[in-house]
Amino acid sequence: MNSNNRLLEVRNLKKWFGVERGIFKRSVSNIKAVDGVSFHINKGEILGLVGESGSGKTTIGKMLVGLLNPTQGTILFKDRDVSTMKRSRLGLKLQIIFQNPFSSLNPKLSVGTIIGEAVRLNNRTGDNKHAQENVMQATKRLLQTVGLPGHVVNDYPHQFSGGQRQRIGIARALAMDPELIIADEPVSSLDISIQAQILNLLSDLKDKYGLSYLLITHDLNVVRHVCERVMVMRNGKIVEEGVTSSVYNNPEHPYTEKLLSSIPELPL
Amino acid sequence: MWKILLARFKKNKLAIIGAVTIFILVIIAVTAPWIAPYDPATLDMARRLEPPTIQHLLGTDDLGRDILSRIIYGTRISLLIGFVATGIAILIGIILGLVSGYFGGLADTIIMRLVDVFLCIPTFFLILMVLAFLKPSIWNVMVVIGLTGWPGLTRMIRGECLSIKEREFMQAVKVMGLSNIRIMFVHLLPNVMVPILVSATIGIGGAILTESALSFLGLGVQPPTPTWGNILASGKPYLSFACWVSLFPGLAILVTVLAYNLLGESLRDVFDPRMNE
Repeated sequence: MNSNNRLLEVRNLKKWFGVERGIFKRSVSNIKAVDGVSFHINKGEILGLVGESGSGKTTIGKMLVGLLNPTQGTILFKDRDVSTMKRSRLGLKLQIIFQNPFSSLNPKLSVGTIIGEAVRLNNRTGDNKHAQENVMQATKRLLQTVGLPGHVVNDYPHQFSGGQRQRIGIARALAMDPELIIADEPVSSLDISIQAQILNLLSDLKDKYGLSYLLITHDLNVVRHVCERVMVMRNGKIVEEGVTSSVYNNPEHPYTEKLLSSIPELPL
Repeated sequence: MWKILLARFKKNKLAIIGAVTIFILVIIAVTAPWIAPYDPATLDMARRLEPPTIQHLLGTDDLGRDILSRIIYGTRISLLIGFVATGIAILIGIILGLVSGYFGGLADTIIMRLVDVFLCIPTFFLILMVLAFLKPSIWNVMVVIGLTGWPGLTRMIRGECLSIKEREFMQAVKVMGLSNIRIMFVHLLPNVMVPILVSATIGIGGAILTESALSFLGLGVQPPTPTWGNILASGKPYLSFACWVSLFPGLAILVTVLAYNLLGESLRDVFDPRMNE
């Protein structure tokens, strides 16, 4: 594996939240949400990040896209430190899909506006006469890509189901033409049947656009189906990392073993 | 979405009453020169302080001017002051509230302490003091009322922003790298529009009342321009035997302020999703 196959590299990433007490905001202790994490994501790879709630998975995702500043450590995207990049440039490379499709879309804006905002930002179409029309066309194409009819551009988020909203969220992320998508529990608030559809959509898009994913989830079944490599996280640290099948078949860390044994067996 | 709101609005009797009253008032203000039976400034010393008759439906004042015509013309001033003063207050409130709620930190601290300071000062006396120094023209009155109306609004808008800001769609637009200005006005503002609309409606009523009170004290719009406040004030010496001079402008103020309050309160109900029965 050569190094220019590496899309993202994270070195010794830490995020501590201070606990303050009293009127003088004395710092009494730190919550170590993420405590020294290193990993990398290769081009065209789906990397799974599993762990129980509170293990720091989401915090990592937020730091990667720049919603939180790391306390310590570096994030390199294609060998460039993201902390030196402008937010608007970073957004063109890294996008995020959120867990809750009901709060991830602005209820007051039409689908066309929500996605068109990203299209406009990405294309930099300028103020020419056809800009408005071009943005509309691109938005419709994106909607079709994620499996929704193009005419829904004038509809509002509350008119859609959870699965459809998640598709709109994906279209919004795609509009920025990113190389890496952080999917933060993208299916955990959806029905089982819809979950499969969305996961299939994500892997289709990966092939079509050459995307890579960091799939953050607590659902080990999801990871087994779609991820090539997986990392297991606990209390802000990565306790195990490896190819999915070998981690599942021969877990080395006792915590991974415990997690795996807690997967409910489906009576088939 | 608008259909549902419209249906709920139609079901709300108080909202309809308020809206229709305000609509009529606006029509009166716009068409004043055509519907007023007399010129509001024409003096007729022979018919001073006449009680309501067929010729003068609401009677005449101490200079023989037709009170109905004066009230009709006064509608213009009152509504204008209500709209402009509230518009100024809302503009300041939106900008400061959005900045305070969206950016937080030092900007938030400074703006909120400023709000606290302004809320400590009794507004009406501040307006009185300022107008005592300035020339009390209609524009001064509007601006001064507007400039004192923003602190409450700012605090309310900030509060709304704080809760909206944490929602995931706000994080999504941040990740996109949109400019802060665009996030604030395109993505955040529409979500706080409803409470702003409600406060604005009630605020217009308040501004009209404040203007009337100022005119009554002689610090508002100056005679001979007719406003409800100064017509009311002009009847003060004759209350015991010619009460109509003060009564009818007083009623006009009452009806208008009531209409705005009714509309504002019922808009709150219409927009509240929990009222969905």
